[in-house]
Amino acid sequence: MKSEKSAPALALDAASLKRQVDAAIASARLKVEPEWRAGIDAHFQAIAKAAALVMEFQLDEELDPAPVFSA
Amino acid sequence: MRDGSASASEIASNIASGEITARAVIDATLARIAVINPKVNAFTDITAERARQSAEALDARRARGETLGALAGVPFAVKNLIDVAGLPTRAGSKINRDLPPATRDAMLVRRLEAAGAVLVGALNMGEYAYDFTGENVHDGPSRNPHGLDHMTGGSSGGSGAAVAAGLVPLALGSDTNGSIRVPSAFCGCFGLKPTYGRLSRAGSFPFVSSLDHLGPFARSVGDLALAYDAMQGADPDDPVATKRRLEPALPNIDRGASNLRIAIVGGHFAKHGDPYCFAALAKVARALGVTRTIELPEAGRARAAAYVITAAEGAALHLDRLRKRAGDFDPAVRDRLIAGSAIPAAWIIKAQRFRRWYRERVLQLFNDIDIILAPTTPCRAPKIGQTTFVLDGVTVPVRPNIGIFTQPISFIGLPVAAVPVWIDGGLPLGVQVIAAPCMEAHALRIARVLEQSRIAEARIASPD
Repeated sequence: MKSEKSAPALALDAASLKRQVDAAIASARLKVEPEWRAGIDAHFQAIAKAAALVMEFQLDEELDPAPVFSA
Repeated sequence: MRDGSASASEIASNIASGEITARAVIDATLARIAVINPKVNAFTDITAERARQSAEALDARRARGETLGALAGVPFAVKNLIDVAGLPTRAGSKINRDLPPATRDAMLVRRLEAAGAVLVGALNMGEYAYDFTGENVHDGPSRNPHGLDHMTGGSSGGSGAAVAAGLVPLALGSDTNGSIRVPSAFCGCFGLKPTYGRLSRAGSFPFVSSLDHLGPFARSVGDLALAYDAMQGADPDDPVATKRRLEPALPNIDRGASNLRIAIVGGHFAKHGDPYCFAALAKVARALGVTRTIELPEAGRARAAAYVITAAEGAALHLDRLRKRAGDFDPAVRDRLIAGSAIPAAWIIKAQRFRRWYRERVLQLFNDIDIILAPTTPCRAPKIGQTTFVLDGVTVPVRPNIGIFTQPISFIGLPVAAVPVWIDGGLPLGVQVIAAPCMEAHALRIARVLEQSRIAEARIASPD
C-alpha cells in the first residue's frame, strides 16, 4: 500500500464553496434565513479545508473504506 | 457520604454489609443534588421517585438475605441522550423534548441496574452532542465545579460536572470525537472511552454512528472498571456491538506497569497545545519512567477526516429536522449541520478509506508498544462563552480545537482511560492513556498506577 501526495483535488475558493452550499440547500429543500448564511459558509469552508487534506492523500484503489470495526 | 466523596465500591460494600441502607444513600444523594446542582447545572432531570423505589427494593432484597450486585445502591446518572423510561430523550435539544417519553431504558442503564446501581437522573449536554464546551442554549451551560465560570467541556458536560461535584460517584456519557475525555480533563475526573463497539449504544440518541461510543465517568479507576465490567456484553440491538466474550478489567487493574511498554506520542500531539498541557503529560511520563517517543502517522490528517465524517453523518441524521425545525436548533449546531449537508459523497468515502489506512498504520505501532500517552486537551477549561484561545502562538476558535488531541484517537476506536492531572493550584488537565483495541485493561492498569502514586487524582469540588 503506497501513499504519496498529489495536487489539491478540490476548489477551495469562497465562491465555489458557496455555490456548493446553494445547491445542497436547494436540493434538500432547506429554508435558510439570510442571517444564518455567513455562519454556514464559514463552516463549509472549514470542512472543505479539512477535506482537502484528505482528498490530496493518495491511497491505493483496492483499499476499501472502514466505516465499522469489529471490537 | 453527605459530602459526596464515597466511591461506588465503598457505597456498594457498605450497603452489602448493612452499615447503611440504600434508601439512606439515595436520600443523601438527592439532598446533595438539591443543594449543589443549581450551581453546576449538571442535571436536567432528577428521577427521585424511581430512585427511592429502587433503593427500597434493594433494601428489601438484602433483608431477605439475597446477594446484591457489585454496584448495589450506587447512585448514577446518564447524559440525556441515553434513554430513560418515562423521559423524552432530549439529547440536549429543544426539538427532541416533543418526542414521546422513552418506553424502555437504554441497554447500559439496564445493565448497571442489574448490578444494583440506582439511576437518579439525566444530565446536561451540548445539543445533539455536536459540542466540546458543555454549553447549551436551551438548558444553560453546565458549570465546572472547580471554577464555576469555566466550561465543563463537552459534550458530556453534565456527566463531568456531576462526578466532579460529588453529586454521583458514577455517570455515563458518550464520546464521538472526545466527549468523555474532554470533560474528564476539564472537570478533573476519570473517564473511560472503550474500544469502538465494546459497549452497546442501543437506546441512545446517535450523532455519528461510525464514531459514537458510550462509557463511564468516575472519581476512581476501580469504579471505572467496576462500571465497565457491569456494562460489557453482546447486544443485537447495536449493529456494531462486539461479540467478544466478557473480559473483566477489574481483576487486572492492580497488576502494575512493569511489563507494559509505554511511549509518549509526538508530532501532531507535541504541537497545538499550551505549556500546561505538555507539563501534565511530562508529569505522567516522568512518574512512569517513560522516555520513548513515537509518532502516529498523519494524525493531523486523521483529525481532518474525522471532522469531515462527523459533519456529513451528523447532517444526514438531522436533515429532516433541519427542513422542518431549523429555527429550533442551537444556531451554532444548526449552521454546522447545514454546512455538513453540502459535503459530496466522494469526500466522505475518501475519509473512510483514509481511516482504514491510518488504522492499519497505527495498529502496527502496537507490535512493540502497549500504551501511548497523549495530552487530552490543548489547555485547561476555557471560560464559559470564550470563543477563541491561543495555541502555538496562533489565535484559533475554541469549539473546533478543544478536541485536537482526542479526535485522531477515537477516529480509529482505540480504548482510552482519561486521567486527571493537577500541576499547580489551577484547574486540572488531562492525559489520555491509550491502548490497543480491546485492551481496556491495559489502559486501566496504567491509570491505576498513576492514581495510586497520586499523579492522577479526581478531586471532589464543593462549589460555592
